[in-house]
Amino acid sequence: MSRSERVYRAMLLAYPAEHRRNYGDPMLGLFRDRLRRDGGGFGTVRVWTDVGPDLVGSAFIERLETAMNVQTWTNRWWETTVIVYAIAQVIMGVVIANNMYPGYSILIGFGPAALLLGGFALRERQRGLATAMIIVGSLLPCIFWWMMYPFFVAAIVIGGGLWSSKIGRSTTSEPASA
Amino acid sequence: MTEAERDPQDLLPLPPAQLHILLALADGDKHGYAVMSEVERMTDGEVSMGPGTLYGAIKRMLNAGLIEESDNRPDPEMDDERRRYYRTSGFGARVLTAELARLEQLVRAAEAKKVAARLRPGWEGV
Repeated sequence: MSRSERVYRAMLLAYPAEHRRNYGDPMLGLFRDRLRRDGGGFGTVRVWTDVGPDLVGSAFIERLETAMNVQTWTNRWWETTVIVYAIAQVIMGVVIANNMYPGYSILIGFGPAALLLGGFALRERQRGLATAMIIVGSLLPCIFWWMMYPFFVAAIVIGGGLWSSKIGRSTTSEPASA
Repeated sequence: MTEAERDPQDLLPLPPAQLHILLALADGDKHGYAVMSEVERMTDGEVSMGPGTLYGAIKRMLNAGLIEESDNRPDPEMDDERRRYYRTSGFGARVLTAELARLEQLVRAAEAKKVAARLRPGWEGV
C-alpha cells in the first residue's frame, strides 16, 4: 500500500463509522484506481487536489446527515444516555459531594468511569462486564446520597443498551470494495 | 408501496451526481471506477467525481431504490471479486426518463426565450 493510500485510509476516519463500514473499502479502492491511472509525480498532486476537497465536503455532508438521522440516535441511545448520566455524576460528585463529603469526591468519580466503561462494554456486546460496571457505577454514588436514583438510571441504561444493541445487530452490513 | 406505484416526479429534480450516475449505468452494469470513468467520458472531463461524492450518491440512490447491486461481472479486465457492481432499477430508469424530459422541456423554454443568445451573442442554440 502506497503512502498516499495509507494517508487516504486514515482520512476516511472523517466519515461516520457506519458509512466507513459500508463504503470505506470501495472508496479506498476507487482512490487506488485513480492513483494507478493518474498518479506519479504531479499526477499524484492532481489526484489529491481532486480527492482532498471531495473528502472534506462529502464527510461533512455524511456527518450532518448522520447527526440528523433519528434512527442513528436510536441506535446510539445507550451511548448518549451513559455519557449524559456520567457527566451528571461528575458534576454531582465533584461539585456537590465535595462540599457535603470532603475528600470522597475522587471515590465518587469512579462511578462515572465505571459507567462509561460499562457503556463501551455494551457496545462491544460484553454484557457481563457491562452489567457489572453499570451496577458498580451506580452503587458508588449511592453510598453517599440519593439511594434510589442511581438504580433507576442504571435500569434505563442497561435496558436501553440491550435494546439498542439488538437494533444495531439487525442493521449491520458487511464492507466490500469498489 | 411497490416500485410500479412510486411516482418518479417525487424525486425530481435529481441532484447532478445522481443524474450522472444513472446516465453512466444506462448502458449496463458498472463498478465504482467504471462509473467514475464513464461520467468523465460523457462530460469530456468536465465532471470528475471523487470517491466521497460517488459513494455518497450511490448510498442515497440505493436507499431510494434508483439503483441496485448487481451479481453480473461484465468487466473482466478490471475484475476483482471485491468490486461491487451496480445497475439501474426499473424505478431508476423511469426517474431518469422523467428527469431527461424535464431537462428537455427546460432547454426548449430557454430556446424559446432566446436566453442563451441574449447572454452570449453569437450563440444560436443547440
